[in-house]
Amino acid sequence: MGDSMAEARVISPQDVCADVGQCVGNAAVAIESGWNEAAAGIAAPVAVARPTTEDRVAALVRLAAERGWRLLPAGRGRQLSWGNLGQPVDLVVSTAAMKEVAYYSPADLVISVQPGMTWAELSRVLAAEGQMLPVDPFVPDDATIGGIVSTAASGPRRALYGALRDMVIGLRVVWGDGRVIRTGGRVVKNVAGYDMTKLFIGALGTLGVLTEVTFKLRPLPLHRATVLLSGDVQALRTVAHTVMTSELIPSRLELVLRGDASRGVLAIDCDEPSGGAAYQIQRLRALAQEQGLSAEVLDGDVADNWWRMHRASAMEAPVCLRISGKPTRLTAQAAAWRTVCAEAGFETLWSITVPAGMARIFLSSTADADGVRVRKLVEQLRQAAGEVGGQVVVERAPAGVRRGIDVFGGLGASRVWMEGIKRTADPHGLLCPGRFAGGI
Amino acid sequence: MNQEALVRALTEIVGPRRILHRPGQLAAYECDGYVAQKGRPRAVVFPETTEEVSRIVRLLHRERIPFVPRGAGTGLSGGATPLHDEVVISLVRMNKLLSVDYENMRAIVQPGHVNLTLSKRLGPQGYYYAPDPSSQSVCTIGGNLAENAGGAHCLKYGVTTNHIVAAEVVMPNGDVVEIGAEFGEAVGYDLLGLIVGSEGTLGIATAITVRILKKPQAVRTVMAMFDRVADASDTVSHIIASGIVPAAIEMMDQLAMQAVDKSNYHVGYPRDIEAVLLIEVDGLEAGLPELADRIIAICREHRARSVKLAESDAERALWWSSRKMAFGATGRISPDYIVQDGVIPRTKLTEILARIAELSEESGLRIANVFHAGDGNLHPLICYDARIPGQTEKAVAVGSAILRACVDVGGSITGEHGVGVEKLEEMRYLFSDADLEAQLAIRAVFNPEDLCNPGKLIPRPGRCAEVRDAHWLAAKHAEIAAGFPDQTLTTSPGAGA
Repeated sequence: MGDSMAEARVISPQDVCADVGQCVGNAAVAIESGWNEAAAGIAAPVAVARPTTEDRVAALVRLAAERGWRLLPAGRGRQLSWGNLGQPVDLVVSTAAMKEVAYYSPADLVISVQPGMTWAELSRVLAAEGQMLPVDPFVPDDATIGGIVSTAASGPRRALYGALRDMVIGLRVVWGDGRVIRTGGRVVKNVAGYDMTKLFIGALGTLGVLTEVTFKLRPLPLHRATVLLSGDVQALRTVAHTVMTSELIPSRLELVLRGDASRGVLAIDCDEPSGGAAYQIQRLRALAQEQGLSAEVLDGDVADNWWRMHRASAMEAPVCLRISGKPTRLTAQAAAWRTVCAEAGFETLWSITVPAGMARIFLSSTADADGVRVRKLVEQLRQAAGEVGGQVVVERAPAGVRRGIDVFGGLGASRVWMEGIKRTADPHGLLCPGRFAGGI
Repeated sequence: MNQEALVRALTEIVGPRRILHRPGQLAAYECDGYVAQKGRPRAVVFPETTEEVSRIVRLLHRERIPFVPRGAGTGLSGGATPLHDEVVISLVRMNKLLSVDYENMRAIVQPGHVNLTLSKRLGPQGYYYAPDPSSQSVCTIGGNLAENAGGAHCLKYGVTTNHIVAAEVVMPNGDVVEIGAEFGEAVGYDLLGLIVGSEGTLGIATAITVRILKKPQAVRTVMAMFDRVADASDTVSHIIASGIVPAAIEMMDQLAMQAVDKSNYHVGYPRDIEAVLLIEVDGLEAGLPELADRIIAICREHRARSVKLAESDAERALWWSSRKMAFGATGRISPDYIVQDGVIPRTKLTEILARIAELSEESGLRIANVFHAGDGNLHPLICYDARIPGQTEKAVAVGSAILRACVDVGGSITGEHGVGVEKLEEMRYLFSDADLEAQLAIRAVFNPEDLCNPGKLIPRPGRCAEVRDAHWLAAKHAEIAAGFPDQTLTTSPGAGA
C-alpha cells in the first residue's frame, strides 16, 4: 500500500524532528537508530516522539497524516522482531512515557492502563491487590502492555484462561487520520455496538495508536502448584491428552521438549483451592506411575520460579516459530518435526500449549545471519504441517530472517475485508505499512 | 425486481416448499421477542445449505433488496425484526450438529442448532457447551453468535465470543469466507471477534466451530436470604474480593421473588426479605467444601437471615428454575412489563438499586429486579398496565432512565440482549458521535449499502428518537412475551444436564 507514492519522497529525520518538536516539545523527540533496523530491516535513523498525553498522540498522528509521514506506533521497542518487515518509517510514536494506571477498581476486577506500562509493573500493581492478568507471554518483563496487546502475545496460561482477546474489554485508540475512538467499556459484560476492541488486538499497530487498554482481571489463585512429569515423550503425550479430557482442571498443560531426544517434561499447573489441588496432584501421580514417568510437585513461589526459568530460556533464542493445529495431531507430529529441525542443524526448545493447539519452537542456533536456513526450515515445516491442517507462523525473528518471507503465511479469502478495515482506520496507509499479515 | 419475480427467483434456489410469501403466512416473522415494533417481511426463505444461503444473498445483494437473518426469534431487542420490507432468511432448517471432536474439544454446528440441544448431545460423553442464556432450550447458536449471548454462568466461563473459535460466513455480498481458527491464533485482523455480536449486520454464519468443555466434576449451590439489599450487594463484592470465582451469582429482589413463587417453581421465599442470592461454585469435588464454607461464612458476616446449601440435584434444579422463570413469571403479577438489560460495575449495585427504587416511586410503577449480580448485569422488570393511558410511555421512559443511570455509574446499556432496534437511541448515552461514526465506517466495509439487517445496532449520528413512537406497541403485544414457552433449563451443566 502506498508504495509508489513512498518511493518519490525524501523526508529527513531532522526535518521531522523539528516539526515534531514544535508539536510536542523538543524534549519529547529525538533521532534514534535501531527502530527501522529492527522493524524494516533498513539502517535509517528516525525521529522518535514520546508524547505524554492522548491529545499529543492525536496531534502527532494528524501531523503525520498532513505531511504524509509513515508512522510506527511502538512502546519500548521490545517486540519489533514480530510481524513482517514493513516499509521504513519517518516517525516512531512511542507511548512508553504513558505508563499510568488510568482506572482501577479491584472490587470490580477491572483495570485501565496506559499502553506504556510494562507487563512487570502491571503484574506488580495487580498482585498488591491479590489479582492478576492471567497471561504469560514469551516477551521480556519490560515489554509494554501496548506491545503485548498489539502482538496478541500469549503463553502457557492460555490453556485455561484464554487469550488476550478474552481479557481486553475496552480500548482508546487514535486512528490513522488522528481521530480518537473509544471501543468497549469498563464493565465485564457489554454488547453495545460492534466489538471493535478485537480488531486492534494483534494488529501490530497497523490500525491505530493505542492510548488506553482496559482488562478484566482474575483473583490470584488461592493456591498454586505445578506438577512436573518427566520421561518418555510418548508416555507424556498419553498423559497430556488424558488430562485434557478428564475432570482435572490444568491451568497450564505444557509439553516441553529439548532437541530431538525422546524424553521431555509435561508441566501441569493447578490453580484450584488446596483440596482440589491435592486431589489433582494425586491423580497426576497415579497417571505418572501408570506410564512409567517420574513426578515432582512444586508449590507457590517455587512453581512460579520454574515457569520464569522456562520463559527465560525460551527468550534467549533469537527465533520463535509457532505451529497451530489440532492438539492430538500436534503432539503426534512433534517427533517428526523435531527431526526436520535437527536435520536442518537447529537446536530447538519446544513449548507446546496442548489444549490451545499451539506449539512454539525456539531456535537457538544463531549461525545464520542472512536467515536462509531458517526460511528454508519454515518452508519445510509449512509443507509438513500443512499436510495435517497445521499453520506455521514466524512469531519473532531478527530482520535478516524475515526478509523475503511472509511470516504469517499469507491471508485467504478474508483478505479483501481486512484491507477494507485497514483503509477505514488508516485511510492514508501511513501506519507501519507492510508489517501486518498479507503485507497490509 | 417485483415481488413476483423475486418469489420466482428465490423459489428457484430453495424450491417451492421452503419459501413463504403470502401475507397470511408471514405474521409469525413480523418481530422477535421484542414485540414493540413489527414489520411485514417481503418473504421468508428456509435455506438448508451454505450454498443456498450464498445464492440467496447474492441475488438480494444484486437486486438491492434488504434481508434479515433469523434464528429462533427469541431475541429481546428486535435484532431479527424486519422493518424495511426485508426478505427474512430463516436458518432454522440448518440445525445439524456437523461434527464433534471430543479429544480436541471442538464441535461444529449449523447456525440453527439449538443451544441446549448441543449440551444434551454432548452430555453422555461428559461434555457441554458453556454459554447458557435463559432461552437456551429454544434459541439457536447462530442467534447466540449474532447477539454474543451471555447467561447465568458467564461470570466464570465467559460469553459466546469466548467460546466460538471459527465460522464459515456468507458475507453481505454472498461471498463465503472462513474466519477464525479452530486452534491457536487466526492470521489477520480478528474478523470473527467483530462478527460475533454484530447482530446479523456483517454476514450470516453458516457453520460455527465452538469450544466444548468437560462438565465440572461437582457443583455446590448456596441460597442466602437478606433483610437488606445492601447486605446482599456487599456479600457479592466480598465473595469476589476473597479470590473466589463463582460459576454464577444471581440476585432477585422481593417483587421478583413474589413473581417466581407464583410460577410452577414455588420456592416459598419469605415476604419480608429484600434480596435473595443464588451462588454457585463448581470444579473438583475435593476443592468445593472449602469454597462453600467460605461463601456461607461471608453471607453470615453480612447478616444473611438464612443460608442454605442445596442438598440435592432436585433442590438445586428448583432454585435455578425459579430464577430462570423470572421474566415469564412477571406476567403473573403485572398485565404488562418491559425487561431491561443494563450493566454496572458490580460495586455500584446498592447505588443503582436505590436509583431504581427512586424511579419506581416517582413513576408509580413497580419494578422487579433480577440480576446476574456477579458481573453487574441487571434485568429490571418494569411493571405497567397498558390499558391505563400514559403508562406505556411512562414505563418506556423509566427503562431508558435506568439505562442512563447505568451509564452514569460507568456501565453499559446492554449486557446480553443486544441493541437491535430497541436501544438504538440509548447508544448515544454511551458513545460519542465520533465513536458511532467509526462503528458505521466499519459496518460499511462489509455492508456498504446497509442491506444486511438494515438500521440495527448503531444509530445514525445526529438523528434522534426514530423509534420512540413504536414503543407504544409494546403494550398491545406484551402478552406475546408473557406467553413465551417456559425457556427454562431445569439443571445447568454441572448437575449433569
